[in-house]
Amino acid sequence: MLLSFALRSVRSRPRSWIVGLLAAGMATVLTLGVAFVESIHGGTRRSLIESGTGHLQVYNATSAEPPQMVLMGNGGAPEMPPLPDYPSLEALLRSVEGVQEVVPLEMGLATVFRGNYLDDKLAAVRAVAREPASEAREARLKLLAEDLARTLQRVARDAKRREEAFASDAQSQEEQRALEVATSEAFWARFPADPLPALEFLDNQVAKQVGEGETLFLDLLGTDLPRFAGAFPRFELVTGQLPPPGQRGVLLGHGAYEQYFKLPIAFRLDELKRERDRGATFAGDERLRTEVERNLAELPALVARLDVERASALKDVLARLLGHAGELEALLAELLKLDDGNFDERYQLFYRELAPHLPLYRLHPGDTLALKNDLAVPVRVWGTYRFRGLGGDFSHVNTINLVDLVTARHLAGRQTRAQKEEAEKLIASFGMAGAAEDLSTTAFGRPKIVDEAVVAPGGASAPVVERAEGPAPGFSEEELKSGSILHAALVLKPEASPEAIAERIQQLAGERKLPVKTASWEEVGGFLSGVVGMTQVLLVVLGSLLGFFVLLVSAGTLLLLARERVGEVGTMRAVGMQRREVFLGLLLEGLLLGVVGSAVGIGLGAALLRFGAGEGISVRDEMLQFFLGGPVMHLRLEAGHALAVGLGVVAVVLGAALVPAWRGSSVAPIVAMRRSED
Amino acid sequence: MNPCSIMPSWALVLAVLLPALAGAAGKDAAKVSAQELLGLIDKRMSFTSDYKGTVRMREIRKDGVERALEMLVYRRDKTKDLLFVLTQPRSMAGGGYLRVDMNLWEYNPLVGQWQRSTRRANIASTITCESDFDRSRLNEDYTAKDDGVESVDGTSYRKLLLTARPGVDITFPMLRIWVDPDNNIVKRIGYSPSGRVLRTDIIRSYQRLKDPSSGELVYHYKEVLEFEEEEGTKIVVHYDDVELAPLSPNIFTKAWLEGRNR
Repeated sequence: MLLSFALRSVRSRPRSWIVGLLAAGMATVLTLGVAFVESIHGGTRRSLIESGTGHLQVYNATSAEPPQMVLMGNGGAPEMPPLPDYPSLEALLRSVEGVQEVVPLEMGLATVFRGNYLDDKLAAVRAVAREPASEAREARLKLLAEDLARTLQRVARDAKRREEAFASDAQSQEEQRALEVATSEAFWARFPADPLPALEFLDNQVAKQVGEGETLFLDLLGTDLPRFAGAFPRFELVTGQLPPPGQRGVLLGHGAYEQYFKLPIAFRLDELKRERDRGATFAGDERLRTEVERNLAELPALVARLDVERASALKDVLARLLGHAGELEALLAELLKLDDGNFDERYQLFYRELAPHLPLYRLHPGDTLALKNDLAVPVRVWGTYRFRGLGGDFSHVNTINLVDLVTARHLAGRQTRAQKEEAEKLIASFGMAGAAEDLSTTAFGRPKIVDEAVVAPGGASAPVVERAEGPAPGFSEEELKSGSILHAALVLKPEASPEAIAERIQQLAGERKLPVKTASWEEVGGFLSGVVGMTQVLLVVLGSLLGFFVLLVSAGTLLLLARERVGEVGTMRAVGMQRREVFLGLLLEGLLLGVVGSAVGIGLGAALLRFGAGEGISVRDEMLQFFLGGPVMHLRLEAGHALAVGLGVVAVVLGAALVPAWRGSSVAPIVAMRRSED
Repeated sequence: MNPCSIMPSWALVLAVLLPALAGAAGKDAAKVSAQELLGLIDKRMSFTSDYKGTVRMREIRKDGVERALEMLVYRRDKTKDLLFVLTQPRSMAGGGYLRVDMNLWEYNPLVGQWQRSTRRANIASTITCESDFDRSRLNEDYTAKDDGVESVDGTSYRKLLLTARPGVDITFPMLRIWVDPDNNIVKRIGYSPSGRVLRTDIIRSYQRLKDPSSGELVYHYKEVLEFEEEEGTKIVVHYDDVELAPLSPNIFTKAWLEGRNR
């Protein structure tokens, strides 16, 4: 009876349909929002899991925090004690049903120092100057010295211009004098006979004038490289090769390779191309014009880096392209003066005609890179890699550089057994053995004064030491696993449940009293998983605002309708209807409007998802690909989510109907009948 | 006779006189202004001769890892030239640092690469800094003001608070030092500009040497204990085998350091 009363009331009052429409609108928006947020959540989860994080990570339970796979702005990886007896632990983890692969990991940072172009040239000349005397050495030294002299002439010209433009202080006058010496004929006349002192002078007095050089900060992921490549199917080599098992080396993330090791001018041109593909123009975007200016400002340094052969080849090419001869720097500047009209053509020309004569990359597979963190270590670059479909060169995961674990340990300053023994012996031989606790930094007193005899001078005998030994180029499987391993990624079989496996691992660790903990992808994903959390919070905020709006408007509409129905309510009460029944009837109207509205809204949302994005939405923006799980975004509506949206919307409408229903049912029959007579 | 109950007369005289004498010495030291005291400290710790010494270190990290290092230090205070040659452990041997004019170079023997470093570089990845092994130049780098007196075991130590002079590139923008009545620094705390403690040093012993060039007695560190606050790393530094004799100018060159590697 109540239901038919509610149905009749809704049908006979089209104005009440506003509430239904509001409910439908809210349900549509929330359906789309939930699907979108779920797509980001699922996409980021997939991206992280498939780019080295794994479904779960295991780490030492005594660690203060779980491992972090994203170190941006964190100031380095958290301090972590190594996993206990890794070989046994790995065997145990592999025995767990559903575990497909166990990959040892260690996050870290390293710096790479890069001198300015003069430092580079001086280092090249120094290397030749230190070779034993020979005709070939003399010829090479002569060529390099001529090139160096030309470069210094250019530096001196630039310095002169600077001096004319700015007031010069004592230091710049001193620098100017050094340049005068370095560009004098007498200096170069003496150079071939005794190059090393001349190079010392240039190193200390001149090189710093063209810049301090720069330190690159690289994110490193120490791992078993071949196993890592096999465990994560999105992994693909871009250049070079995988290091053979048991060989030390680094695979640079291709994003890092482009960003740090590509000729900056070329890298900026690529950026300009990307921006223009997104629709930006030189006319409308100052950033693009600034990039062009930066390229032009960098031309002197580029020209200074070129050797004679490259420079003359480039000059010929540019003269042919531009139709006239000229100075190399001026010709390059003319070609790289870009606007909307000439960009596409010149971009093509740059790569087709100029790039073959330019040092496009500072580093190539097969080269050695000097990485430094706590200690420095030379490491072979085997190639570059990327994770397929995860945002290309601008994705964070493609700027992480993979390095073997032996190198990672060395960089972190963790000692091998041999190094530990050596340290113990040295401490004993220094007479410094003793408990560390005895070394108080608070207690102090009068220092002991020891009268020492000055050692007899031995100035003539220069000490010679055995050249430092870095880690060997190769390592054994035993060395890899028996050294400290800080955490490991677990890749699970498709049907496996991460939660169940985490529980099983905790159970096994408890039984064996192993201090081992597991962490989910969300815990180790750093700010990337934080982004997912933020979108979820945003959705809740949007839902709440929308709900509040619907609540207010619906309550107002229903109150208005309740006021209009005072007479009707009075009549119903007069014929014996209880107040509670009237209240429930009015509430039922709200429920009906909410249910129908939310069903329509969810249906509409589902239809939009099905027909608007059924095949997935192509994600062209590389920045978004990581968060959406690849180049295609799939928006799907889960039944559970649809139900949650429906219940939420109905709850809001019911909430909105409560006050009108209460007010509407509280009218006394006599008052209501009088008002209906009026 | 109970030796403890009756004091001999000479001992009584000493007991009365000694504190008075100590007080007088303290008064003399107090007469010197804080800034003058820095000058005195610099003077008594500076060599006129060229310097060569061996520095040995034991580093103890919070996680229990211990390292040992040995390096040769070459110094020419007249020209501010400074050179470190690492000799131990084997993984670092042949590396080093060279300061010429305003350049501080770091040499990595594993890759044969030179790198310009900042003036405030840590030496060989330890908590020690270049300035720890350089000539004392507190008076040139800092302005000092008195910061009270601290008494420990009956000795009064004068405390000075040092603030870096503008434009000077130094390791610690602020220092607090404790100076004993003989003008020896016995404790030193380095602070960040915000006043955070960076490192605490205890100078346990000095060596007194005769500088052959000036004929003066010079005080040089013998054993120093350094404690880095943030990482909790301790380091013991021994200064041994000091030679004070002219050094060849060729020593302060890249070529010379490269030539140390066999």
